[in-house]
Amino acid sequence: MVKEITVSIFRYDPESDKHPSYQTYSVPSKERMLVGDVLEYIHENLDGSLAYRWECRMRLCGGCTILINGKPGLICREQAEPSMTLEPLPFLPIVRDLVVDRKSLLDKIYSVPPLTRQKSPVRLPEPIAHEVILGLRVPRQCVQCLACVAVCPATEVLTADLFLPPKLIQIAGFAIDDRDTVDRVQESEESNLFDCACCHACEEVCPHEINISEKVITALRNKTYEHGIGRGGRYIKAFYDTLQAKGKVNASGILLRSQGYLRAIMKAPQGIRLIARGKFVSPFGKPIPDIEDIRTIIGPTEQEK
Amino acid sequence: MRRDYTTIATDVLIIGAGAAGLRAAVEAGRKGVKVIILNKASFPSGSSNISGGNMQASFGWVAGDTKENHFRDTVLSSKYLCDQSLVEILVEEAAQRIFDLEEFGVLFSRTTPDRYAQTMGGGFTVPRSVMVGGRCDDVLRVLYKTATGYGARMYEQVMATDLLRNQDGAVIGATAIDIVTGNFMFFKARSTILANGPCGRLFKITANTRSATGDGFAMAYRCGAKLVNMEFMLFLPLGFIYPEFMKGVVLGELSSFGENTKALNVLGERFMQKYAPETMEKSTRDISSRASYLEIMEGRGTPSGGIIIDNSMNNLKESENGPVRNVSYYRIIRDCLGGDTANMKDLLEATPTALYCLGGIKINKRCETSVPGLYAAGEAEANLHGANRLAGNSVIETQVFGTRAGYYAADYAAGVTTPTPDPVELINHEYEQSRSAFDGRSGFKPIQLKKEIQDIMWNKVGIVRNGEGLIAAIRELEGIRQDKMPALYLSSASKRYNYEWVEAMEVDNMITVTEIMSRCALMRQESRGAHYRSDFSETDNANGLYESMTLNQNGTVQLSKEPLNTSKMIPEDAGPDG
Ligand SMILES: Cc1cc2nc3c(=O)[nH]c(=O)nc-3n(C[C@H](O)[C@H](O)[C@H](O)COP(=O)(O)OP(=O)(O)OC[C@H]3O[C@@H](n4cnc5c(N)ncnc54)[C@H](O)[C@@H]3O)c2cc1C
Ligand code: SF4
Ligand code: SF4
Ligand code: FES
Repeated sequence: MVKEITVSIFRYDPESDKHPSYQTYSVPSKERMLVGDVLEYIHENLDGSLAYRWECRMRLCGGCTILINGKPGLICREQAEPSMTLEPLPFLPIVRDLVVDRKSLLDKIYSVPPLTRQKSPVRLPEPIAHEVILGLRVPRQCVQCLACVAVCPATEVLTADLFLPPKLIQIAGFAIDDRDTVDRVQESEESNLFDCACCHACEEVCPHEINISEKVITALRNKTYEHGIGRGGRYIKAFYDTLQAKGKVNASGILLRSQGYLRAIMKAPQGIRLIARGKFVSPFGKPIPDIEDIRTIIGPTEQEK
Repeated sequence: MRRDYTTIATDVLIIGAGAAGLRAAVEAGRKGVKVIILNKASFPSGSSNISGGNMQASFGWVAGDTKENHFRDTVLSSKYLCDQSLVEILVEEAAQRIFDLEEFGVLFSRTTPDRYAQTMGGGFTVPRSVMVGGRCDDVLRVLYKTATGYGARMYEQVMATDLLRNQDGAVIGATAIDIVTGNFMFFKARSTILANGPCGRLFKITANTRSATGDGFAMAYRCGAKLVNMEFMLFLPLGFIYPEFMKGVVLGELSSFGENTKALNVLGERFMQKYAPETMEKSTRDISSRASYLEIMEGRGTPSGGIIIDNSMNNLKESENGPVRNVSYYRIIRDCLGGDTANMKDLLEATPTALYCLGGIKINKRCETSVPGLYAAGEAEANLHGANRLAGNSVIETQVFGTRAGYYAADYAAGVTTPTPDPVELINHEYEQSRSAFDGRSGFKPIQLKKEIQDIMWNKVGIVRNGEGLIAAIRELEGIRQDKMPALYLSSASKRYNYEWVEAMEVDNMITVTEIMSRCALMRQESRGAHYRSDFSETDNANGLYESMTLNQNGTVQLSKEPLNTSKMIPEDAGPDG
């Protein structure tokens, strides 16, 4: 007897459908099947009208990300499960069915200026230390698949002024490059570097297994601390003042423990959202020059306890 | 009546946002002209995006690393079938193009802070390929930012459908479909560059991406541009065989796992013994692809239709990436086939796979095609590689010839001063043509025809060919064109992201290109490099040293044998295949 995969797929054509609906298909199950196999089977044998996107099959184009049982994943990477619900990525305009229009987010991500030197290099190859290359390589592996964006609680918390992990990742792709003259500290602060709660949710879904909280967020934060207590520190202090004024310092620690809790906060009023941001206090990478100042302000962090 | 379309005017129009198209955009943009790039897939895409990113250039840092050697290696690998005037340009300009990429911000791997790491490849006299950590996608992002920095604008998920010409026969832009909205567009341009890459999707099993259906070759052919050496398609011996979705994605080369890799058929025989007893598993990729293909076609493949790779005799180092040097490959193998396979403890099943189109649109040193106003760059263009290509000579080709195409196309555009009115008749015709797929009500879905074509090509115009099979293939392809294509229908009337519709347009291009490929393969009665005829298994230097030329004569394929440019190296020592 042929085993079957039952898959329920989000259908919506904004031009002709009033509401989205879900359509269920049965696909014969085989050994070693990716979600992409299930969709290709449907396209070839059951329903040619279903819209979904792929290009490279190697996790490199970033265009095939959808929600698989509620979790963002690449159809060229995730294994098919016996029962699946497939939906488009949230928060983006739907083109049709599983295809979303990524442009608004990609434009933001690509708006990060490229390597900008004082003047053209006179001697090529330019001397660059091996470690620097390796450090820059990690963020440059990001393919803008937006899987991390779909799970990131900080992205959901702030919609108007979007916190976008892949944008910070782009910035990190230049941050430790001595040749670069762009103020990446300012850039990353303007891109809400301190909104990240270091919850690691993004890392679980990243197809390139990028250690975002450490290699990107912490690396960038360390960079801001190089400017003394600087902007990052002032930000923390302002946050602390807010907390103290509202008397919710203890609450912040509890709030930040679970990503589930953070997600609940996303619909809460502004005051509580700020608390959600408090998690940024804990994941200091290397000790910053003025760490003691901050420690005395804030008290010991979660990790240190 | 004017159909509903949008006209967008530009100086230079570039079709394809791979490494070639983007490099052309940078160069044209630098010259201050307006540049528009169309890309069928969402960006980044194409072969450039999934490529290993090895790029050959001679820097002269190690003894024996000279441009002359790069030239010689390339010509020898081509089996003398390349255009040597293009090879001269390649070896001359390669290093400078690498430096350009570094200036734009590409991070080349290094041995010391100011020296690029250079690796070896089959057929190299010395290690010569630089790389970007084993991937190439970042090169595309860097080029994209650089090009947009110079004002270039990209329209992604917009598929060019045809090139239009004015009364003088010059190309004046392209019609296109916005895949997202279904809108029809006319991109009016003073000059146009075809940079739409490979055509691996003509074959059932390929390492190429979804968009690689050879649209550019078909468009060039339709508008009268000459194509050369279209019989030459490069295959790699080892691609994924399952999951089905991954079929053809590159696993590696026989030599990439270690010294003691064994390639076995289903009977457990080390079949390379039969085909290349001296070099065995270390044979060049054309020979090992051919051997694996023959084993499979002759019924000695595994039930899944593959050969078996046994690495158990390799003394494999346990490391984070396993024995597979490239961590991205390691992860894909691990996730699809399991950790033990990725660590090469389990046997690996593999199939040969279509990688690269050696033939293409004929260009001269300025990347001009035979049609005024039309340029070509990258994998779309030819003839740099002849009958076989050195690893690492192709991404660098996109840089060298992309730069030239952008430069000369911008010059040409600046010289076009007379305003061109929209050729409304032609546009209307194209419009009707592109929508005709929606008229069908029953018959064949585009994907069915696509698969039929891919099967024919794999079985009869694949790694091993013969006259009988080629004639049958031509007849079958003809049958599809005449009987089945008019009976196409689509499942949905929606114009929004309707990939069946895209496929219907692709099938049309695929039929054109496959017919050309089969006819050229039939004409070449010898075996040379990637082209192998079981009925003419020897290399025939007396009759085979020609460039095969395809031209559209009022709708029929006209073939001819053109003399080769052998300005520097004379093929007297063009040895036997191998
Ligand atoms: C797996 C793999 C590994 C490789 N590794 C190497 C290597 O290490 N070194 C090396 O030298 N070479 C390598 N190659 C070959 C090399 O990568 C390619 O030849 C080269 O990148 C081609 O670049 P391109 O810009 O010409 O085409 P592509 O990069 O393929 O770009 C063409 C673009 O055109 C678009 N397009 C297609 N049709 C249309 C249309 N109708 N309208 C609009 N746009 C269209 C496509 O979407 C695509 O993005 C490899 C190839 C593969 C498949
Ligand atoms: S670690 Fe930071 S960036 Fe990643 S999901 Fe959590 S909050 Fe978002
Ligand atoms: S960081 Fe990873 S998950 Fe996020 S966009 Fe980049 S590749 Fe995708
Ligand atoms: S198909 Fe490109 S990332 Fe999945």
